[in-house]
Amino acid sequence: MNIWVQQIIQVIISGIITASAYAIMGIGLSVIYGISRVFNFAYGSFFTWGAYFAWSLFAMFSWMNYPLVFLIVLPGMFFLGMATERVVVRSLRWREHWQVTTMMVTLGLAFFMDNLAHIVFGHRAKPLPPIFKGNLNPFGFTLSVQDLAMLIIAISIIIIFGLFLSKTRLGRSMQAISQDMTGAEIVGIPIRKVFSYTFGLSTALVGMGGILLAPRYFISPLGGWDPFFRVFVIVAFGGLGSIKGTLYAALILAIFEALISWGLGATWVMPFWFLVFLGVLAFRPTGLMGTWG
Amino acid sequence: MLELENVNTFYGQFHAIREVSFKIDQGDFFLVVGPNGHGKSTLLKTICGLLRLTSGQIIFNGGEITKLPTDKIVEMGLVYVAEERHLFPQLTVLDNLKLGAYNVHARSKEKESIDYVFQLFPQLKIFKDRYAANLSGGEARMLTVGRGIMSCAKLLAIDEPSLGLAPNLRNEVFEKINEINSDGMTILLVEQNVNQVVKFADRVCLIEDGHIVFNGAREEALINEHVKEVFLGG
Repeated sequence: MNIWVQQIIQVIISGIITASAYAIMGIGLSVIYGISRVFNFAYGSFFTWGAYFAWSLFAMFSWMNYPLVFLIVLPGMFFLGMATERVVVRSLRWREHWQVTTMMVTLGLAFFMDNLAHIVFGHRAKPLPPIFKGNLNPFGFTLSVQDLAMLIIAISIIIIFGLFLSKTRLGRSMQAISQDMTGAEIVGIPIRKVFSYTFGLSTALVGMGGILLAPRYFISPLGGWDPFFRVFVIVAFGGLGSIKGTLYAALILAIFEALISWGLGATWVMPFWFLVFLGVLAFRPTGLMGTWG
Repeated sequence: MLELENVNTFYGQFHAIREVSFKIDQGDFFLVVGPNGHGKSTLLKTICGLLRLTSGQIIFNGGEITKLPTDKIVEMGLVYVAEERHLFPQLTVLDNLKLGAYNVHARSKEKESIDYVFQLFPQLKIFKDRYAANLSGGEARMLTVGRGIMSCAKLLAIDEPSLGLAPNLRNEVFEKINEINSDGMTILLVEQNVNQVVKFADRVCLIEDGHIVFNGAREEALINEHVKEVFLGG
């Protein structure tokens, strides 16, 4: 096979793998807006803290393994998210200009969490061990088992989340709220409870993203902003509130990111994201499939 | 069954409901009429917990519901059918109905309720797999009423079901509501088309400027000079 073609395919595969992690984080950011109408600026900080929790478990217990980490950290992140909704968002909801106020307050929360991480864990970047070691060489391509595991975990989460939305009572009530909040209230859905579950779910998803990406990028107190910004652009590109749009956008943009990083160099990656963001705002502010203006 | 005592509600700065008191007995067809923008919809939203009253008391089925959130009020069997419909556009007719049966009590009777709704509105059965967004005005209106029934309602508070419907469809909707009432459901209906609906009502209540200016049996309403002047064309 032509060496160029092979390299491009290799880059696209790498893009797809990153896309899978972006996708689950994007879904988390999208549902929190689509359902509870809150834009959560502390999303990146929850990403960081998810990874720090996992790192702490590995640092404290030498016998720690990934299944156990997921089992402890994800429910922990879920409750942290629910608590955040109860304490920070609930008292502001429905007041005048509450959507802007919650944005400001979650931004403040982000600063608080980042600085707390700095105090607790220090400024030095922390690594997470890979979930799996070793490489596979299918058809002459190189694929690390870690990347493959990441892809499989992320796709499973997306499928499970889709089933959760369409099959469970809570999932259906989330759909109902996102389609018509007053309608949901009228049929007797306890919307306040569903809001906090949504926050919890979203926080668990971004925590999962943090754990999956940490073996690649290291963990640092401000390390969540970069992925948060990318995920924000993905969600804006796909359409805030649309899960399908988020999936397509994650796939398209992550592959482009990988191609640009390979073809032009890593310096051009962030300008690329900014350009996409500006493009979305200028030409299609509702995104590919968005229903929210 | 439903009792309001000196209820006051503000809509922003606007004092929309003023000292409203009335009582609805079980099985009644209670018709609330009044000019546009005089507080009829606000009254229903207050009763169903979508708006907070500033003072007064609301008793439903022997329990106070004044400060309860909407989901708790629905669970007790007081269900609001909104003028603006508030259906779930990207869900099918059947899924919309199933979401109506959200509370535990209603879920246990989901099958029976669906059968009842389909028998009442055969069109909904035909279109059960259609998205709510693709229904005609009349069908959508029937779906909102059907969804309300699904919540195991004991009292349906229906807001202007004739809005945006052609006269023949209006009649059909009113007749259906009357049929539901005959099956034992208590009805609280807000409506402008008094002439078409008054024949079904047991009691009529006229609201002007947020006040109740008349509340009595249908026979009295039909001979009351003020009610006649406002609605029945003198």
